[in-house]
Amino acid sequence: MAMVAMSHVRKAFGSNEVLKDISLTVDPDEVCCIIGPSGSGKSTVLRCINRLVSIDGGEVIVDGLSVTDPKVKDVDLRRRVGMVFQQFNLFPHMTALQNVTLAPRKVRGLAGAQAEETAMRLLAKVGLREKAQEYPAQLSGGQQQRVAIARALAMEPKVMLFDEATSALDPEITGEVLAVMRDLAAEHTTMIIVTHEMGFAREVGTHLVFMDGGVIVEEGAPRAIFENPQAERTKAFLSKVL
Amino acid sequence: MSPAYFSALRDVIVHGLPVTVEVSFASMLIAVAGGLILGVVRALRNPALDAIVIAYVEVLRGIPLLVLMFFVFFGLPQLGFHFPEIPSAIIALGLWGAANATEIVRGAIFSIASGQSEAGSALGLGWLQVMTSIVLPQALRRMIPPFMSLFVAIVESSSLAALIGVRDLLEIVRIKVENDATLWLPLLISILFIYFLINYPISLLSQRLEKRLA
Repeated sequence: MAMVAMSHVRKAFGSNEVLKDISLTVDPDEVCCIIGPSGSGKSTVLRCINRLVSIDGGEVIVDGLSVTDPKVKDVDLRRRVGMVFQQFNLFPHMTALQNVTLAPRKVRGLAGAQAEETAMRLLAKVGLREKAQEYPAQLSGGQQQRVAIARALAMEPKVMLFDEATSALDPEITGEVLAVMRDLAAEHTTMIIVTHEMGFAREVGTHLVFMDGGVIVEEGAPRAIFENPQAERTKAFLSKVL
Repeated sequence: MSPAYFSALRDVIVHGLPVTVEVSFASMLIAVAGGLILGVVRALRNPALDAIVIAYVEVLRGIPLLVLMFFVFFGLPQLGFHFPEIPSAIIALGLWGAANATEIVRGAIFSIASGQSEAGSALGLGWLQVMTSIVLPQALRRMIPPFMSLFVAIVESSSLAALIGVRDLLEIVRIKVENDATLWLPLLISILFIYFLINYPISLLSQRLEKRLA
């Protein structure tokens, strides 16, 4: 069964049609990278998956749950979907550790000690065990984003969404975040990644989607698309960014 | 200074000061509680509730506080609601304070970046959990300076209660000068100093809290 299945999804903000008939299937263990010019609707695709944005038409099924079904609770959907944001969005009044334990305690109902044990393991995994007691303002951008990844993983999601997770970072520190994402891919974490990192999409991605103007122009194996794009718009985009 | 002054000043401090403090402090409590509740209600972005809260805030901020106090003390009895002087003053000052506090709370909540509540929602937290664990703890820090200004304004405005007969600092002074008009100046200077002694620590506290939470 597909982990995320979108069919004929439509979304407009006012008169601005952001998504026009998007159909996309992401299977378990896939690393699906979505590329395309800004304003093409990439981020909105992610936001439809965990209901941060409600869709106007079509259907999205996440691990068997329909986002359009009013009986499906937000919390049940969002427990299955971890999300990492461009601007990190760490909670500035909490330490790194507290950022990671908040949702497991409040949403999964874990006891403090148990949540902290898991959080420390995840912070170690992203290489920040020694920064557990630091506040976000004391961390670099790359460190903050790695905490944000640990925070999302703490909910043990079935699929991880990355919304331009490295776009707000200086080029020399995007590598530390991409390395963590690479590790996750190696552990067969299902991921949907909106990115401008073409090298990453090509090497780590198992499934590439090129979007433009609210539609999926082309999708397939990353290597095939990078080496031999079929659509004119894909060719034009790739020639600009590669 | 004459013995008459010291005797009058003693009465002002012993009888007037506790009343001024009581009216001010009770009004602050109503203002904070009311402001937090109504400010959070505004964050729900429910059009019907918004309209009610906006109407309350605009009406209360748009009428003179003294008229509101007269309304509670002289007007409401005609509708069958009788309140003694001190509760009348507290109701009027508290409702007025709550309207101002609502704007403080709303402004602070809306100043927190939307990415914060979005991140909380994405983690599965419900609206109330996002509010209590993520938004309010950050917003509360931003509320401190304007709240301290409001507290100072409440202490100052509590003197209006003298006009409905509340025996606060000002009213006791007025009573004392009835027999000896020469006491006006020394007693007024004395209570100005007392008001300052109440308000200055609030300003100091605000500055310290601001530094600590910055």
